[in-house]
Amino acid sequence: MSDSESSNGQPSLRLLLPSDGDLHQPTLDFMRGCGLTVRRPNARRYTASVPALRGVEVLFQRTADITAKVEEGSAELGITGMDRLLEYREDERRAAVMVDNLGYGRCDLVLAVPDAWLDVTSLADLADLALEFRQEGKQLRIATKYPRLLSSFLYDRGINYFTLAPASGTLEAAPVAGYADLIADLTATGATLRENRLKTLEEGTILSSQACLLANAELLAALPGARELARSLTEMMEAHLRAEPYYRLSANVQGPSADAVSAMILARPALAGLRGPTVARVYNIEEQDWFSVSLLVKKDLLLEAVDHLRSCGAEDVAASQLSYLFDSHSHSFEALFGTLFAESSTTQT
Amino acid sequence: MSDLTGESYLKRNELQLRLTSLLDSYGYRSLDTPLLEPTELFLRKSGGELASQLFSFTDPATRAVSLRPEFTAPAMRHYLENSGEIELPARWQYCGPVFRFDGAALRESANAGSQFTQIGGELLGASSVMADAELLDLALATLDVSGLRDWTLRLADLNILNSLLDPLGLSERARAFVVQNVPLLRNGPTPIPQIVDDAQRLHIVGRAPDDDYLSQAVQGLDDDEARHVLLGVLRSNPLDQLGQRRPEEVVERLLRKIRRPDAEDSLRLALETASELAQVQGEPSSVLAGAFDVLRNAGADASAMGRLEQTIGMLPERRAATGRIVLDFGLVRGLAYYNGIIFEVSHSSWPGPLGGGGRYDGLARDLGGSHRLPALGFAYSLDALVELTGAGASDSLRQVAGILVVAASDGANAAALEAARELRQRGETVEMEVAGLTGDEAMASAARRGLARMIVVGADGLVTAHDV
Repeated sequence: MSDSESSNGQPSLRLLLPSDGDLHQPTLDFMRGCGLTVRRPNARRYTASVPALRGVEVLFQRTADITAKVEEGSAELGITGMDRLLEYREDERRAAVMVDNLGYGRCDLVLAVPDAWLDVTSLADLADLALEFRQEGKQLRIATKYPRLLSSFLYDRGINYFTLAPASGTLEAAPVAGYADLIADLTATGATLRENRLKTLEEGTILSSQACLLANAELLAALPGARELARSLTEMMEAHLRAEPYYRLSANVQGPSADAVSAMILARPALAGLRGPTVARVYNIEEQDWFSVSLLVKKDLLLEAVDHLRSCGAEDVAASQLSYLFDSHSHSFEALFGTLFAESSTTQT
Repeated sequence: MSDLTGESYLKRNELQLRLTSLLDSYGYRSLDTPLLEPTELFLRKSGGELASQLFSFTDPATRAVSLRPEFTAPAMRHYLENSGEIELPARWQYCGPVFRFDGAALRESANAGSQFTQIGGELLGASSVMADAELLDLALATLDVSGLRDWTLRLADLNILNSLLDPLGLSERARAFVVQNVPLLRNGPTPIPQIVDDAQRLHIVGRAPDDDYLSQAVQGLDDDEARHVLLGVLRSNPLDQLGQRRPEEVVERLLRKIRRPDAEDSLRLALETASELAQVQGEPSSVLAGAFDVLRNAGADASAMGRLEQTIGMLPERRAATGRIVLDFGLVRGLAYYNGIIFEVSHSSWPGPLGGGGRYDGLARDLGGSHRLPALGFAYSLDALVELTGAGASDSLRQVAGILVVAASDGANAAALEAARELRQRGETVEMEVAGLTGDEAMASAARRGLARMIVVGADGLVTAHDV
């Protein structure tokens, strides 16, 4: 195991986090939400630690560089936007997606054309226009910072005649500045596009992106200690993400028996927990027929579930945020390393 | 390609020489271009169609470059960069390796489907039917000179298909889609429902014109009034971001979109018409009349058909007889790239075409030229021709019987080198013995390698010759 050990004999894992831009603070918040609070001894340092997981070394990098850094082996793991990962990565083994939906940093990569193009409302219109341009010896000029994603999106849809305009400065200004006819850019709300009198197209969303966890699978395959740390970290994130949509409800319900109480609650399966409620006898002095009920419920069904419990005779209904919801195993980790590594990592611990 | 050594190398060179001198005799001057070109050159030519076949990478200066997949685009680039000095018509020939990634072939054989040698010619700056005839004649002569028999040359003219589609008022994209699907219609209209489904999936047709405020605004107006209203709407916006488009163009297209007859019906009609033409296949003399009928029935312009008939009429009888020339209106050779005569040559013992060509008057402009430039060209896979003709290398090129020069001892090395030099000056092919062999061993080695004589040089300069 010497290959994955740091000088003090502990296995170590390097994790790259965005040091700038829209992903920096949300990533720190997300880590804290996962119970993986990042401790940075001082704001000017580009290294930090995760006290909850000894051996994890956090390195802050520019969001745009994270894919390449993981791929070149500067770190085993990284968090960046799916947009940047897909645009920049060269080798899927060395920049593999471990968790593709960290649930923040959401934005769409979209095609946007000038409002004044009254005749262009859909991708089909754009395809048609590209051919009309070609007939006239012109090419559609598209400004983007995502040439790879854009080109393959357009080629896949049979749009072959276009050129990429150099993407410098503010893309939204390219049509007015005159160096591009349209743009492909990120948008979260569409407000900036509208301010610049640009409109999106039907079927014109190239990618719906959010933050993702990427891994250098080749490196992890060779470093059992780092791999085990990566598995722990991935599991914490996954369990946190699985827990996110749920509340835990607990209540005291009066009823003749545990079976009768659970039957009442199960009458509405959608409000009765993931696999049905847990019902346990409450031992109290005055009366014999109180039961404690505990179940998980989707956040959007909270009030409905509370009402349902009340209608079953519940009192003292408590709702709490769930921190983690662990599955029987880590799907992401297994998908990446297959049963082979999953086995070897369990035998090793 | 696979490795070429000895005989197979000579065979290819010999055929290359014969074909090069054939092209010379037609006045086609040699042109060579770099193996690596900017990727954009090939993408602009083909659209994305070729993109998946390109060997593309980023060079250390982060430029996107590709190994050339063919010569036509580089030849046109050469013209555009030097048009001031090039006298039209220009005739160029080329021969060299080209690279196309073929995933399917790769699965069958590790070294298949990536590199082959292309030989061909381009004729730039000539739009006449004489130019069409010259190119076709040259493509046929290439087959003659190769000694290939039993080939089939399938011939069509895309302007004929275009003249059928012109009156239907399809969008450019729908039209390109029809052209692309013509090969599927060779055996009749059966696949049309499937093709229309595809068109809907690709959003080429499908929705009725947008039921929005603009189409409502021009309801009941004639086209001129509608144009006026729409232009007014457009002009009420700042027009600083129209890009390369004029307000009138936006309005024209918008009006076409609003007023377009049900796009799906037009597409279906176009496919049906195209399928009637695509089913016309066979010897020119027997199918020309049928092709004229299709055009007449559709009320289409028959001048392109007339031109093709003229071109065929100029072909020498004997060439048409050595193989088989068939008209095949199901032939399109790739999307929206050729615009006139097109042909493809095949052979029963070769998978896929041996070569082909056609007219591509729009390429100059696709590559950034200011005008269309009438141009046409053809190319064959030299590897395919070599393999199919199976001809041995002619005697003149066969490796001449050589001499092995052996130094009798270390002291004789200088004298042996001197003797070899003298023999080479007299035109002999001489190999020096460099493996330390002497006497019988050297003789046996010379025999194994097909050398004719062995000469042993002594330290005193004394030479003894032995026939092997």
